[in-house]
Amino acid sequence: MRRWRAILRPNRPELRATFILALAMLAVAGGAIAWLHTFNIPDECFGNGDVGLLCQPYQGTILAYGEAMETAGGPAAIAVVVVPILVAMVLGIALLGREIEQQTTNFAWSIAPSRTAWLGDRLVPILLLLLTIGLAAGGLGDLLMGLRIRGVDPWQNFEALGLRGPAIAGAALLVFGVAVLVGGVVGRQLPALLISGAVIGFAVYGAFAVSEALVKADAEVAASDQVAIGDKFLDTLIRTPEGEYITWNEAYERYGSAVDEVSYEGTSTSSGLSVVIQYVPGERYPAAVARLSGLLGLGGVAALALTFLVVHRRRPY
Amino acid sequence: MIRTQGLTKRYRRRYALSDISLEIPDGGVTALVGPNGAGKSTLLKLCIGFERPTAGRLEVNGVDPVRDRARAIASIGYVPQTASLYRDLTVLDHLRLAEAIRPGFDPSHARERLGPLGIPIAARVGELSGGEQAQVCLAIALGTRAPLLLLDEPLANLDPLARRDFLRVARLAADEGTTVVLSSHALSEIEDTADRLLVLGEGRVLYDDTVAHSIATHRVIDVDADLDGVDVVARFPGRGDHVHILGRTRSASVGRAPTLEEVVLGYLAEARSQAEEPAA
Repeated sequence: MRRWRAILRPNRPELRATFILALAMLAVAGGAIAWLHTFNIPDECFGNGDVGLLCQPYQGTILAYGEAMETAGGPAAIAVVVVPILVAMVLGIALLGREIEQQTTNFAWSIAPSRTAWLGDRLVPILLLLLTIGLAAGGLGDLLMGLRIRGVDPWQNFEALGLRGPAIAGAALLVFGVAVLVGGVVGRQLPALLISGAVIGFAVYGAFAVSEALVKADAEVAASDQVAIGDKFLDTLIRTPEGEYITWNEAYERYGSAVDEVSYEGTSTSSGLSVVIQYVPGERYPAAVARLSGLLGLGGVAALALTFLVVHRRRPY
Repeated sequence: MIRTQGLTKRYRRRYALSDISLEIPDGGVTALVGPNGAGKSTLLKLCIGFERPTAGRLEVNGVDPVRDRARAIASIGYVPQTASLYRDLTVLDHLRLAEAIRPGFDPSHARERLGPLGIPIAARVGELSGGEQAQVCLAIALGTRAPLLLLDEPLANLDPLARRDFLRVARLAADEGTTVVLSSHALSEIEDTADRLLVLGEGRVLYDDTVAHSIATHRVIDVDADLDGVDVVARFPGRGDHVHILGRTRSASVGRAPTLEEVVLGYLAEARSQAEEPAA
C-alpha cells in the first residue's frame, strides 16, 4: 500500500479530483434514486393496462414523479455517463502526456530499471479505480433506467444501450487507454487532449456501429402487439401471403395500392398482406451490452498494450 | 566502465557523435567537456538508454543499453541537465518514489547527502532553488548505490556556491568508489574535481587523458617564445592582445603550465581549424 501511494503520488491532484467527482456522482445519482423511491407508486400504474381503481389515488403523485424524474433523474443519468469518461480522460492524459511534457520521465525512467514495470505499477491501481467507478456509474444508470421505465427490468430493456451498465466501464477503459496512448506518443497535454478526443469519437462510433450491426443480426419479426417495452424496435415490414418479409417500398412495387389497406394491427387484409415489426427482444439485452462493453474495453486494452510499446521505445522528453 | 566502438548517433542530417571509440575506466571523476553540440549529452543519454545509437557499439559496465536497458540502468545513477523533478512533490516524496520504483534504492544514503546541505526534506521541490534541486537529483542518483554516476551538465544553471557544493559531493562519491562521469562547461571549476579529461568536439573524441598528465605534458607559451622542441597543438586568443599557443612538451622550462581550460580550448581550437581547412 505504501509503495502504491508513493508511485501514485505524482497523480495526487487528479486522484483527488477523481474522488470528489465520483462522490458527487454518487450523491447526485444516489440522491435521485432515493428520492424517486419515496414516491412509492406501484409499477402497474406506469403500464398501459386498465388499472383504474388501483392507480386512481396516485394520479397526482405520478405527475410529481414525472417532474422529479426530469429534475433529478435527468441530471443523474448524465452524471453517471460524464463522470467516468471525464476522470478517465484526465487521469489518462496526466499519466504520460504530462510526465513527458514536464520531463519528469527523465527522472522516473532513469531511476526505474524497467519502464514496463513503472508503467504497469501506475496503470493497475488507476485501472482498478476507473473500473470501479465505471461499474458503479453503470449500475446507477441501470437503477435510474428502472425508475424511468417502470415495470421493465433494465437488463431486459434496450433503451439507452451503451449509456448505462457495464458499457460505462468499457467506455471509461477506452477513453483512458486512448488518452494514455496519445499522451505517450504526443508528449504534450493539450494536443494529446484534442487528438484523444477525436480518436475516442471515432472509436466509440465504430464500437456502436459494430454493436448495432450485431444486435440487428438477432432481429426477429412479430405482430406489433407482441412487441413489448424494452424490446429494440428496428423497422416495420410487410408480410406477404407467401410468408416473405419485405420492405414497404418493395411491397408498393409488387402490390401497388393494396398495400394501403394493410392493417397495423397485424391482421391480414383481403390481399393477404400484413404489417409486422422487426425487433430484437429485450431478453437479448445482456448479450448486446456485454458485446458493446467488450468492444469498448477491448479498444482500451489494445491502446494500453500499444502504450507499453511506445513507452519502451520512446525518448523521455 | 564505459566502452564505445565506432559509436555514431545521427539526428536527421546532423551527426551528434561520429564513429567514436573510447573507454572510460572505472573509478574517479571523468570530465566530459566540449562545446555545445559536441555530443556530451548524447553520449550520456546513449549510456542510459534514452537514445539509440545509429551505428557502433556501446557497453556500460559490460551491458549493451539497447539490448538490456534494465540491466544498464540498474548500474547507473543519472542526473539530467535540468532537474526533472516533480515540482509539487516534496523531497521525501521523491525518495519514497525512488524507493518504490528502484530495487535496492537506499533512501537513508540519499538523506545523508542532503542533511549537511541543509535541504529540508519536507519542502516541495518547487520551493527549492535550482542548486538545491540539483543536489536532490544528485542525492537520489547516489541513493541508487549505482557504481556509475552520469552527471549531464548539472552545473549549467547553478551559482558558484551551488556548483562548489555539487562538485564536493560528486568528488566524495568518487572517493568512495563510484565512477563519476561529469559533463560540463565549467572548466575552471571542475579542474580540482576531475581525474580524467575527455574532450569531445565535432562529434568525435579530440582528447582523452588524465588531468594530471594533461597539465604536466602541455605548456602555454607566448607567440614570440622559442618554439624549438615544442609540438604546437593550437593557437587561441588570450586576454588583451595576447595569443596563446598550446604545445605538447615535457620540458618544464618552456612557457608555463596550462590550466585545464587552456588545454581544452587548445584542442577545440585545433579541431575547429582542421574542420575549416578543407573549406579554405
